[in-house]
Amino acid sequence: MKIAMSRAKKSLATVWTIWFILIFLLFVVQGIWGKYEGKNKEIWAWFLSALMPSVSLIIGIFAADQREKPEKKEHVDIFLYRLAMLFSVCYLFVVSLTILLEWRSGLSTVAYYEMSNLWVGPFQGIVIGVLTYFFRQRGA
Amino acid sequence: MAKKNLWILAIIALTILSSVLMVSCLSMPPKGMPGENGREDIPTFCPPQPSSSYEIERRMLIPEAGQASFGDVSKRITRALKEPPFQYPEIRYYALPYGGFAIVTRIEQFNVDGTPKETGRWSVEYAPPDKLTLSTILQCLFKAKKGYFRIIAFLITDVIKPFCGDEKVDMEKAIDWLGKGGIRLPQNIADQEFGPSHYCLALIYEFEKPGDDEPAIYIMPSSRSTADHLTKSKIMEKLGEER
Repeated sequence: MKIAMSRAKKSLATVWTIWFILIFLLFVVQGIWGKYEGKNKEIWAWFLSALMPSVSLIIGIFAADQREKPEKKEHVDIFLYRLAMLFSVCYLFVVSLTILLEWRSGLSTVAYYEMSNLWVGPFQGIVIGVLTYFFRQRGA
Repeated sequence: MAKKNLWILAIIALTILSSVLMVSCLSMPPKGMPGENGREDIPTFCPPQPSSSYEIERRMLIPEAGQASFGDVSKRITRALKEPPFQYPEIRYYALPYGGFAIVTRIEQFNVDGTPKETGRWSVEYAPPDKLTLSTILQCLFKAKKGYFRIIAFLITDVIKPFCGDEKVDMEKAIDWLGKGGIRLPQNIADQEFGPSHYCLALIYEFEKPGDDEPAIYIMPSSRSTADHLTKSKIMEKLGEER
């Protein structure tokens, strides 16, 4: 089974963009309410390092597509698309959960986010790997 | 002959004198060790200006008619502190420099509503709230991890101005109050009469950690009344119960 590459890309981009905006807004509101007073730099650095590589990758792919439009409609294996979507949703869920459960931790905020890199970092590596592999598919 | 007797008498006198000295030295407590009942056995504590204070009604401490001693008052307060649900297992006694005594509890962490924390109550680091309501979750999600701490002290004295200085209390120093105090009230203080001029003043020393990794701030005046602190920690209820 195959799915149109343009449709698959749009679905992935929509999920990433909406989720990114929601988390971004959450961080902004937390910042306004003074949650990270005195440690905004460290917390924003964590946020950007957790989401920007994947979001940048998707934006880059879209920009490239706009520049060199494919001559014929490309299709990709639906399994690969579902895998990319599953990894993306799981990763975004883990990042959101990490942020939403920070207050339950007895650790200091900075120490907590530093520690969260233990699971966020490797997971992010896998997700970027899957997304890159998916976007490089040039099916018939 | 007379000279010889004189020597013998001198030796006997010296022996008796040294024996008396030896016995008296052995019966004296070693320097720095607590004696049995002396007031000097427990350290002296001059309470700094508290975050808030409240005079406990006399009828809550002693029977309306009849005499009572410091020991009776101490027992009443101690019992109220050690009863469930919010027991204070560690309390310390101090002598007051102007007469009377003080009971000091260990520093505890409390919730925003004033009740003692269930988890992390005795920790000096932030502990998440016990009750998970939508309001507390939202507060925790959007606001800094604030920790609220307090030390409760009871002064039993007849002095009208019982506070020493108005310097802000340092939390680290306040934590030491527990380590330095006596674990029991010495008998000579306990035997003193709780006269008509004596009263019991409850003091709250309140601290707030505005965020994790940040030093505690001494709160003066307190965000809530002492009576409210004592009510939320159920001490007032226990003091009010029938003896």
